Amino acid sequence: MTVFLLTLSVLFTASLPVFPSSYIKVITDPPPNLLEKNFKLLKKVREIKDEVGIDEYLFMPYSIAMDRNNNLFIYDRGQAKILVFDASFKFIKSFGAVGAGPGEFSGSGKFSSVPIQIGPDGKLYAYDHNANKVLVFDTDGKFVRQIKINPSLGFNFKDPTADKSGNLIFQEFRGDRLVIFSEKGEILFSMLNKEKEKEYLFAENKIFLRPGQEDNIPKNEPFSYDGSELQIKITANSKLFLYFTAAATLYIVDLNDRENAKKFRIWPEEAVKLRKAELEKMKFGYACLFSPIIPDGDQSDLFYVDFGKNKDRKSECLYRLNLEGNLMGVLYIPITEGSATPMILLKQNNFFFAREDDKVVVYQE
Amino acid sequence: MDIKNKTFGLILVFLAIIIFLSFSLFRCIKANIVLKEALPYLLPGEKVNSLDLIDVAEPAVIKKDLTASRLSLIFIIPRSSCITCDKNMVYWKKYAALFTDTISIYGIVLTNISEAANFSLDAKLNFPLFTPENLSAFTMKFRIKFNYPQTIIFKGNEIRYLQFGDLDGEMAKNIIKIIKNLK
Repeated sequence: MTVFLLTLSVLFTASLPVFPSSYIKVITDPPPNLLEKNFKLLKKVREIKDEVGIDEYLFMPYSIAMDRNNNLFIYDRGQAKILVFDASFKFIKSFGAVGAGPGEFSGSGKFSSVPIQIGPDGKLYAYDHNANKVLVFDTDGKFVRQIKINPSLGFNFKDPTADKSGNLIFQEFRGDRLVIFSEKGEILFSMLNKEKEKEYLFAENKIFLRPGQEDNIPKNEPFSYDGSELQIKITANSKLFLYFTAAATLYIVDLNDRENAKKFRIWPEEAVKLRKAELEKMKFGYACLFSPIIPDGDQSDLFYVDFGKNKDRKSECLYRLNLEGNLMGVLYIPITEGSATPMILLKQNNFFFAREDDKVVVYQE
Repeated sequence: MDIKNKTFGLILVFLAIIIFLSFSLFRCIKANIVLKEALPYLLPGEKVNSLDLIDVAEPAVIKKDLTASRLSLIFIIPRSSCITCDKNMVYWKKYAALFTDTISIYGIVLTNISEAANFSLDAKLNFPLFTPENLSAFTMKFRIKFNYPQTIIFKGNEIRYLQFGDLDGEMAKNIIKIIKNLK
């Protein structure tokens, strides 16, 4: 009996799929018990909303950023202003105004999309989509400079990103290569345009497209089908994160050691199945996983992936991974009834931030 | 004689001027009324005493006596689906969050009751919603001619502030200031 069991276990082990150990790191399905049982539910510790200071209000938070001193910056699209809070979430000041001049936002209201980010150089970058420009402020709110963006360049859709010296980062397809380069023209990373990038998410080479959409695939952009996108982030310790939503593939490039880029398939099969099932039901949908990649603000060897709403729709799920692609844990953010999907920013001093309809909610582990 | 004639002449001229001015004033007042009537909204200073409304949450006719409220903030929503209303909604919800306990805040949507009920659920409103009992009488009362939302502050039955169309950040903050001052 023992021999039989041993033989069986050897055969079973041998039948397990073997993944290449170097360069490509494939994350297999996390065991169900990890997802179902070993998650941590984050605790809500604070809400930033309504009247935040004397005659200062938060109407419609759109994007959030945090500097090295743990000061929190919130872009309020309701008034096209950036509100600044100290590490204890006390309102300090606000800056920014609507106008056509330098340092001014093109408009306020629901359609004012301005992602903000603190660059590795410590400056605040605000990308005014409607005006195709990036406004750079120092963290005291003083306007530093403004860069007009050529809309034909693939500027990072989600966040304005700059390197340590404050050079903005762009992406562009040059022939058969995707090139990531800085404002000064320095090439940070480039890669071949590989068709097989898309295979994981859309197995059997079938891309989820609605009838009539087949012709809309940009021929020269196999990395970003049908409105999907490439997310770029640079951490303070010069790690470049490139996430291809259509391929559900993440590259992490150490800018000090560019030869050893790591490539991850960060989505477990189960997640892909769920996403596909969701897309099938949707009248309009994109063939990709948009969820943001969130480098850890404190620990350079961890990052997070926002998985989206859990099955019960009452929580938002965050995967915590290390730079080797190992799943280190799953965190759930409770979603209050009627709230919009939270937007998680980053972790600083064990704090997590989520954006809801008209407030920013702070969570702690 | 000359002096008498001169005085008489002056009186005639004076009378003619008075008549002319009165006539001009009358024309101006008339033109003003016509212009006012042509406006698609009421003006600050104008008064509305009461409103006959149907409560969307518990359909029943309610007579809202504006004179009974010290301060009222009313949102007129022309349709259950309009981009401008959608833009304003975030500000309206913020006012409700800030002032719901201290002033009378409600929305009036110009649709039928079932559509209004769906709208109330979909928009996840944090303020009460009503529909006019008599739509045409209501639109006449508020001179509504276009499908644009209105944000109106009443002090008692008198309009103190009216914003026609969409709000922006500065207007939104200004409205908060006005409410605080009037309180």
